[in-house]
Amino acid sequence: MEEKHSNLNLKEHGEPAAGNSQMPVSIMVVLTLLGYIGCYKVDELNANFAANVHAPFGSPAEVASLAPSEAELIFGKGKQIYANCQGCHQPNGGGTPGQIPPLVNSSWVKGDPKLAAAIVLNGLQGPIAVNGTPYNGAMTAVGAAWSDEEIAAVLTYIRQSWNGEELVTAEQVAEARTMIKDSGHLGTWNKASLDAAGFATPE
Amino acid sequence: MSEEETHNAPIAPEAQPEEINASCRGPVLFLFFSAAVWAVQATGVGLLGSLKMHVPGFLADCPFLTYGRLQANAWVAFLYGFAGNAGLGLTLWMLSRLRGMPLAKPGFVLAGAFLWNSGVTAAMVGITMGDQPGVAGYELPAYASRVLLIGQAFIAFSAIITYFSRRHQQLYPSSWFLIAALVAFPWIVGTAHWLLVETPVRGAAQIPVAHWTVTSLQQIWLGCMGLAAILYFIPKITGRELYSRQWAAFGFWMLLILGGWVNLNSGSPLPVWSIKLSQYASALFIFVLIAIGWNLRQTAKGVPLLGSSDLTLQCMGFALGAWLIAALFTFGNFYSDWNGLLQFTYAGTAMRQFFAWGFFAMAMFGAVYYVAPRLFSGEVDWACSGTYKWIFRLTAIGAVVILLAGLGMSYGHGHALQDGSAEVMKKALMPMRIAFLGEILFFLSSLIFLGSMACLLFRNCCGECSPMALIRKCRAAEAEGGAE
Amino acid sequence: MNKSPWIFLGVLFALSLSWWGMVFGPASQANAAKADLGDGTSLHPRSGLAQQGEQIYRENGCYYCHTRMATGGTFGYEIQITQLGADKDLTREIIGEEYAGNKIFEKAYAFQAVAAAQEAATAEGADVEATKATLEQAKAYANAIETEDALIALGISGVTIEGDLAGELGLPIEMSEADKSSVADATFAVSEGIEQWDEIKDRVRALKDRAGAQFKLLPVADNWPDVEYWGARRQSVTRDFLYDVHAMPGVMRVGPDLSNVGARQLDLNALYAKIYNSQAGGQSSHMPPYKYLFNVRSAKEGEELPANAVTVSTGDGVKQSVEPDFVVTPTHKARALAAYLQSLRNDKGLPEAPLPAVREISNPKEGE
Repeated sequence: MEEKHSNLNLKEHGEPAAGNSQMPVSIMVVLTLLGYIGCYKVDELNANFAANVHAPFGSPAEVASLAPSEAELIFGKGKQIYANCQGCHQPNGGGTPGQIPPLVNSSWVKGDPKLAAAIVLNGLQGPIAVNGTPYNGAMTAVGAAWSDEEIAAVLTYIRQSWNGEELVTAEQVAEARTMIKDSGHLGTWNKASLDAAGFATPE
Repeated sequence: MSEEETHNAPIAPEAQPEEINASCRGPVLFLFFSAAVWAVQATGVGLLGSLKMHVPGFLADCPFLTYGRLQANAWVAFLYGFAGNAGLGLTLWMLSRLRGMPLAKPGFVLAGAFLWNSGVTAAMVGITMGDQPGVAGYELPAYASRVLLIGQAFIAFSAIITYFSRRHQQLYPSSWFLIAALVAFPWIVGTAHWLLVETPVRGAAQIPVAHWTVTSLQQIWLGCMGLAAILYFIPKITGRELYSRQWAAFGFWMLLILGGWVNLNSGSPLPVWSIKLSQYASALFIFVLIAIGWNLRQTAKGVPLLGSSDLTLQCMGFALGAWLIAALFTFGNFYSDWNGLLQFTYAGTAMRQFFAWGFFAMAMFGAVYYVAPRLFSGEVDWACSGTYKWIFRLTAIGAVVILLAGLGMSYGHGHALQDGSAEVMKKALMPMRIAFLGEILFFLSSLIFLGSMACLLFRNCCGECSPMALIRKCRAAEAEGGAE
Repeated sequence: MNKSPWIFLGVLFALSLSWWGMVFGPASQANAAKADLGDGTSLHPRSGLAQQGEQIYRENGCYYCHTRMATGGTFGYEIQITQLGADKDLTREIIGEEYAGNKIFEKAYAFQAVAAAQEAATAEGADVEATKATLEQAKAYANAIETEDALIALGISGVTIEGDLAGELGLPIEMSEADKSSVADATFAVSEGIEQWDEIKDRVRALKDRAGAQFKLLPVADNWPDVEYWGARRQSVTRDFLYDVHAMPGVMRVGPDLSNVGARQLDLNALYAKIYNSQAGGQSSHMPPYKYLFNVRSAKEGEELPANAVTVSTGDGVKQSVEPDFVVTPTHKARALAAYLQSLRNDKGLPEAPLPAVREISNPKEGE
């Protein structure tokens, strides 16, 4: 033991040098080939460097194929906006018997969406009949500040959920706005002024 | 710079090894001794934390001693305390030797070393108080990383002045690795400091930054310093030439390019492309493995490194083997099924520990064994000669235990995670409980390392500087004078 | 290599490659991530309390043992046709015989034929006898196809069968509320097995462009351990960390994955009990207790536990303090940590990570 350790001392070889052996060309070729195959593979699997593709998805097209359709998006947006309505009309659209008319299978909602759009825009008061039941309440101009798209979305939600109707477009809401402007009517509607402005109300 | 220019430039005469050793004495010994203190700290704190895997309630009522805080502390003490100090000390010595010039500006080194150690202390206190950035592998609070960066800059300044102090015909490969480590550290820690702690980027953007930081610190910073030591000492002690400069250059550049990309887990919540790129980098890492491994194998052909009678050579041999195994694990990460099985198990952490102790610490132990006695003038040797061997033995056994526990037992944990086995918690703990044995061995070897360093310093330094020694020297000089 | 300064430049350049690819690239991409989910909703920052809880989670190093990374596994799709293409043969060819052999596919087209015949019969100037015969034939054919799955044909766009005819075909004449809400789901699955995107993408394109069918793709998780056993609902993605001050995805699963802990641990008291002492109530766990996050005082003789006391239920359903003879109440730190944990959820789909249907849950785990 002692002997070995005394060998340590200060005897040492000079500073090491590096030899000039060359890397074999064959290895360089193999490495280049492997590197190339790897690049090719990465190129195939990189999902176009998209930020939104996470494993186990593999491509932007795959993610895009799962995106909801335009109609579903409008429906979803309308469902959120309906939060402004459900205080009176209830989350299930059933309304309150004798006070708030229902939106389910409603004669006022079915058919031409312009009528419903006009009511959302300006509000409605006075006696009306929904599906033959009389109501006499007051609805504020809840959608006065909403965009055409927002009104179209909430009407789409109401009509598709409970009335089996097609989707409402922003153009239809814009038409309703024009009709209101042309009629010169200001403020809250009643049944008579709606009829006068050209929005045919049901009996 | 062309050949002509190099030839025209005046070349300073090469300094004697003794002169270089003497110039390094104070700063390098200070760094080595600090490293020894931190090694004990790191392993001790780590043990305390790992004990919770056996006794969950142990020290549970003290908020400063949660498993998370102890683990963070242990890693900071290892990475910056032990590895930083030992690595920087060795960098200074090796650069001076390879340049054939005495260490320039040793005062800067001492100041830097003081700052560096204050930074580590600040980090440990900060973490204990609950101030960690939330990244396993990079736990520095902002104030600590600032101090560390300044301290490292001081030391790097001295190293770089030394490096440029003399034009040498050819740079030995180890100096590339050392320079790379010196340059990489501020870049890596600076990036993490700014992007994760000082002005953190948004949460979603922190994950890739954190991964790059942790991987680069390990593969590039630790890797470069450790490989520099291996590439230096194996040829030096065997008295041979390093087989090929070309192979070394290839391995070096590939390591630098790939080091920050590799080892991203396939389940990371990151876009597919960054995971695929990382897997590609991991696959290419086989080139680094081949380059380094082949070069050193050819160099040490016919020399049984582990069976050598020279302790430094034994350490370097083991460290090289450990690095190759760790590199192989990195390469294996390119295979998603394999990575997917092990990604949430102890395997990754075990490989980090294996890399830290089996490769890096082992290389440092070997290097310090060689360097430290030479820093003194005269015939100096390790005080308790036989004990240093135990540092090698204990560290080697510990590293093997951790490797086996980490890979072997984690395999079961990985399968349990995928099968939803009810035993999963037990299987998660098994490898960590076994690795605890390895950690005990690391603790013991750190203790011996500290003891040996203290012994060496006490016997030679304090002995030399004590009043009695001075009087003895004076008398000897007088006697000599009288004789003449 | 005697060009010393070039080493520095070379090192800087080599490092810059991985820095660019692993730090700058992904980080700037993630930095550009938007909170808007594209359907009118958006992600929100955590509440103040939960944000403080993130700090507690961080400073105690919880991320050393818990991950917040749920991962995916094998993955496939079900095609649900929501609107039949006009060309039955083409559709059949595209989706493949093994799926088209499904009786419900046949029946949907039979209904479509009935609807077409009905329209022809009511059109002006129709040959009454001929159309009636066609209609009868179509009806008979539709009725002859027996399937176990109920098909609400009215829900398939383009197939509208009205009045008594619907009754004759076994379809509801007046749709009930339930039927109406299921209209949107009134589809039928064509694919039975799991197919990877690569196999299915050409079919999807052809179905849309050539056959003119409309359909939904439903992602189906076939072998997702994290979903099946760990309570996660989908894989974790970058945007899950959008509002983290410090993102802590974690490294190891010594403890369970927490990416959806907010959804599976809704009981705040149970969460407190878990943090206070995870072995409380005889549960098997190796998590250290975090009692210092709670106020503990000894209970007075016969004292009723206060409402905010942390309790566990004993075997016979009686609630008792988590620490017998003591009253344990959460401190602000414990409340913050619990708020943070409850904010960790991935049970809501994101555009880049919809919630997959799960084939089979063989071993649902209790919320840990």
